[in-house]
Amino acid sequence: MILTDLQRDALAEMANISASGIASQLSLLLRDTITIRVPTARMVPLRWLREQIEPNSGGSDTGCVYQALSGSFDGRIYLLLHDEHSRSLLHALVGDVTTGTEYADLQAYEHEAMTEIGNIIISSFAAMMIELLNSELELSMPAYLEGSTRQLLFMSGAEPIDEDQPSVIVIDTELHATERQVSGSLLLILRLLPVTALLQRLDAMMAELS
Amino acid sequence: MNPAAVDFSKSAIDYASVTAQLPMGVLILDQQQRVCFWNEWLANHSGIAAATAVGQPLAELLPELRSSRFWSALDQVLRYRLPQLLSQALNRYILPLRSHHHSRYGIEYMQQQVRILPLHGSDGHDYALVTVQDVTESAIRAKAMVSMMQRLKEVSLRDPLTNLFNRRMMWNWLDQQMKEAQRYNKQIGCLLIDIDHFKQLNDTHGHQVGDDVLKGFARCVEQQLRDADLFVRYGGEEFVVLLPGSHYIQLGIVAKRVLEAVRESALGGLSAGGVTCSIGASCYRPATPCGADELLRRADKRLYEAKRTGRNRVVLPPEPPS
Repeated sequence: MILTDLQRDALAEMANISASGIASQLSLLLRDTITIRVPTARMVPLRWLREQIEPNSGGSDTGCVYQALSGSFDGRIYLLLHDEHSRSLLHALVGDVTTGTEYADLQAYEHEAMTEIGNIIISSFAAMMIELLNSELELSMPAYLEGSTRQLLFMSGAEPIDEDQPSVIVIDTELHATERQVSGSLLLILRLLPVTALLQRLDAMMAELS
Repeated sequence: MNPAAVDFSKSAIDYASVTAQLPMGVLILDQQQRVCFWNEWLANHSGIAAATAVGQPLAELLPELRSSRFWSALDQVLRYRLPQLLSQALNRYILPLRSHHHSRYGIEYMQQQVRILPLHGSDGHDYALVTVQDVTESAIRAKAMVSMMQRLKEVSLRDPLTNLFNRRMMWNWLDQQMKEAQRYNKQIGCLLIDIDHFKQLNDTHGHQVGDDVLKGFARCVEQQLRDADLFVRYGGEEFVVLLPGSHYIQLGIVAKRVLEAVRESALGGLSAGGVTCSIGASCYRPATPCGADELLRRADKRLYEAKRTGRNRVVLPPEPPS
């Protein structure tokens, strides 16, 4: 299954509208001028995602924030800061005292900050889904997780995994902190079961608009 | 009766008394952000009794609650029913609650982790459930750990005898400063200083006096430098001074000032003039850049020249074309 051009544009536009709210919230919270590049959306297979993320993780696990989604759509939304630049961005935003430390307390401090940043981004996007797709959604509290891409995205283990089948919606963008002069990419990943429910809502929204 | 079979929805448990036992703040707000519930923990920590709080708009009850993150998170919960986490890592003070650690650690307000969750009432209305956890102690622990790490880092970059910076610090500093000098077209002066006849002084007066001379020398030279300069024990009786933004003339002035100050001071219990030094200087110029190794090598060459021509003197680099 692939996204049509219209579905792809609609998802990117939803992310773009929520980005301005996210940028202003993060600017206040992080005391910096945060800008977010216009996002792009695509539907990809797990293999593609692994190839994007795992070579950048330096062999270690990837960290992510996720919130479980239920209501009109079931599944999970993840926020990944997946490469060296995005991890540097987090260090710069939270303060570099935790960089490279082995102290569990300080790493926990950084994970907590990442959880809140993930919560802001995920819930702003979810709010846009509620508004524009006229849907009923509930989110769990955000949680921070570390693991391989496969472990993170297919935790339930109940479903068969076809790594070559497009099954995950990826919205990617870049966040820039002006005063700190750092940028990093963000991946917002929608793992919906089934994804068709979202696509039908997107089609319905576009039909109403046209 | 099997305890697992108890139906709590029909039991006589008063849930307000459950929240009264919880070691955290619990409050419930309605769509108009008025307080519907205020537990005992909050009453104890805010000094506002539940009877006073209930029915009041939160903004009026706590006018000091100015965290824009809190209000936008509350809006997300009441408008979209999307749960929110406000971490201590990014929000130092959220609800204006006094800390019990004030006298000991100087932390006036409680550091908190706040969660705001949607709650659907049996009356069909949506509410926001706010929980407040006191994380002041873990914030104090994290702060202490950061300060300990900074101290360890500092110690690893200092020479234990003189408390001057060591070579490791010097190479890190030069790496950073040379990039900046290149970007902003600034020079960096370098003085390589060696205490004259130090081995002889050690052999004659003993190692204790030798150590006292090194410490006294460090304090004496330090007084001749600016805060921005880096003073390093390079090894044994050799020292390096790095002067950011110093051109040829300033470099000569500082070098001569150091030379005279050492000569005129009574160091390590020896009389004035008992300790002298030789100095070789070099200068990093963005127009003709060189590496850190080369900067030191040039200064070393001139230090050798100063020693060879009689010690207790400075050899400067050639004057640049004006």
